[in-house]
Amino acid sequence: MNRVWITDCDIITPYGLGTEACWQGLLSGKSALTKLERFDTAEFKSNMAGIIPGLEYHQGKSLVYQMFEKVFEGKSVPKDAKLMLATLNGEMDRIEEQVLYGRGEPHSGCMPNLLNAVQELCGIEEEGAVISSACASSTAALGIAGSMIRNGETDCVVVVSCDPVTEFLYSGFSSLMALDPGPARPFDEKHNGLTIGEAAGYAVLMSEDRARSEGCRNYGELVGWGMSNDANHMTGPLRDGLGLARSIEIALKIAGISEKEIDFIAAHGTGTVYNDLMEMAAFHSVFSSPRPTYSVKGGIGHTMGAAGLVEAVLALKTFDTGLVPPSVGVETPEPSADGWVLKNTIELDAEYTLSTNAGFGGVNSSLVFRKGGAA
Amino acid sequence: MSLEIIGTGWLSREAYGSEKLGRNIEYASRTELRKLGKEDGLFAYPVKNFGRLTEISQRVCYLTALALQDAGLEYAAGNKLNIGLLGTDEFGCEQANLDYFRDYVEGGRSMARANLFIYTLPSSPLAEAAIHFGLQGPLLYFRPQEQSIESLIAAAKRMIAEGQAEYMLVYELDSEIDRCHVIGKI
Repeated sequence: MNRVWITDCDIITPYGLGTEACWQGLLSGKSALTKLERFDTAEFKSNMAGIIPGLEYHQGKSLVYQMFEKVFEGKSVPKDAKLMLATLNGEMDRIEEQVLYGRGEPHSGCMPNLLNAVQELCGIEEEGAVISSACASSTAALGIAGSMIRNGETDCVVVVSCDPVTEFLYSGFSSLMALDPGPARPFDEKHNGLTIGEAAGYAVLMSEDRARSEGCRNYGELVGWGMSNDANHMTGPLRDGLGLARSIEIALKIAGISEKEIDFIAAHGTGTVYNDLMEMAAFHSVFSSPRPTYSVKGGIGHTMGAAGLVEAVLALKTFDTGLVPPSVGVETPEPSADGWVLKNTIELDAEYTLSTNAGFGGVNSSLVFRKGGAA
Repeated sequence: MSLEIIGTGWLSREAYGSEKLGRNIEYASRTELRKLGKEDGLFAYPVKNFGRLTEISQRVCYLTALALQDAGLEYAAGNKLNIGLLGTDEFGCEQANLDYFRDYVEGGRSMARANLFIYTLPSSPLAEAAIHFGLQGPLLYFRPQEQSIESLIAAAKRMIAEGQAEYMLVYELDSEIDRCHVIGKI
């Protein structure tokens, strides 16, 4: 079995371009969520969002393509890698333009077209695939990529992920009464819904042998992945958390470690009451004692299919810096999160982390990472 | 022990059937697609709100029932099974996206319909099947650039081998004949 290293990664988030900008934003405890001006929100339950400054809406290039242009500018990824595009629904603004203005060719807003465009943008020559598993899309893609490398099917996969803030998405979540009127406060006693955010990013996953031979940096090792389904409801999670717990247990088993070895948790933490309680129920069922836990969604919003990749990249920063960021927006943790969720940055010499995501249709995905450079 | 296709259900605009059991039943001349489940007794128990599901979700439910039966796998209400779902088609949920956003725009861009919005994910039809049949393994839409089903079958085999599920269902949708293959150990 090959070991799987993360040899390169970067993201663009509402805090700005680059992992470091997002990391520093989270450590500051200040939220990047702001009043949304991209489209009229007067009829919706909220007017808050996590927006990347400087993107043009309905002006030519799609929002996600613009994000990818920024995140890949000056970067180089292995041309012989497999490409995996993970997204909720890709270029939703193209669908909007088609309906509102009659623009675009048939199927121009489809995900395979975005895959082709991203492939060209980053110069990858190998065949790619689109992965979509609701808000666990990029978590699932990282797991599949890890599995392919571990089993020797390939020695390098580039996972790219993105989702934008669009009227399409915003109106839908508003109709589901899922939006917090203010900025999302995951795991806080006053949590009252999510705030939609946008992000894009990439991670290069490589076999240890190839990474060593090419002198690549090891940001962290992907050692476990688990996927499950609640088989319960299209939009609501299984309240006892056993669906998510199942994915965590599978990830731990593949990693070959016990729950005791997980040092901190990068949680999904959307800010909806149902999700936060479900997730804490899952953690209580799997873990024998509380672990430092945070959600980034009070800082950048729920970045949908991109959430897992963004959260994984940020979790790797803890290995590098020895810091675990606070769960932005938490003042008083809701009771089941008390003793777990961080209100402030802490120092931690972590060896393993767990990152979790869940989504519509009952999907759950979990990843376990090990500190880079470990023998 | 090897991992192979152990059952396949299929559905077209005119007929449905299964590979191992050798079924090939024409239905188009006597009933509509949405009535097929009830009239031909395809489900072990009724699918909740079946008439409200999108057509592709209805097709996925039929295919799942046919494939599970072909593989000799039983299901029952309230029972969860260690089975996952991987699906592919050509354009994702494009039609659902257009239906949802057109309806929202025609409604004055004030209130969207949640029951259309939930189908604006390419994984949603698979999720409807997972809910009805109690399938708690991995669930995702996986669309290879070259649309080869082999990539999905390989992914499904890896998932079984590493313990994500005991069986995997692999769906090929939106072709002339939709298919659902059951991957498992023989």
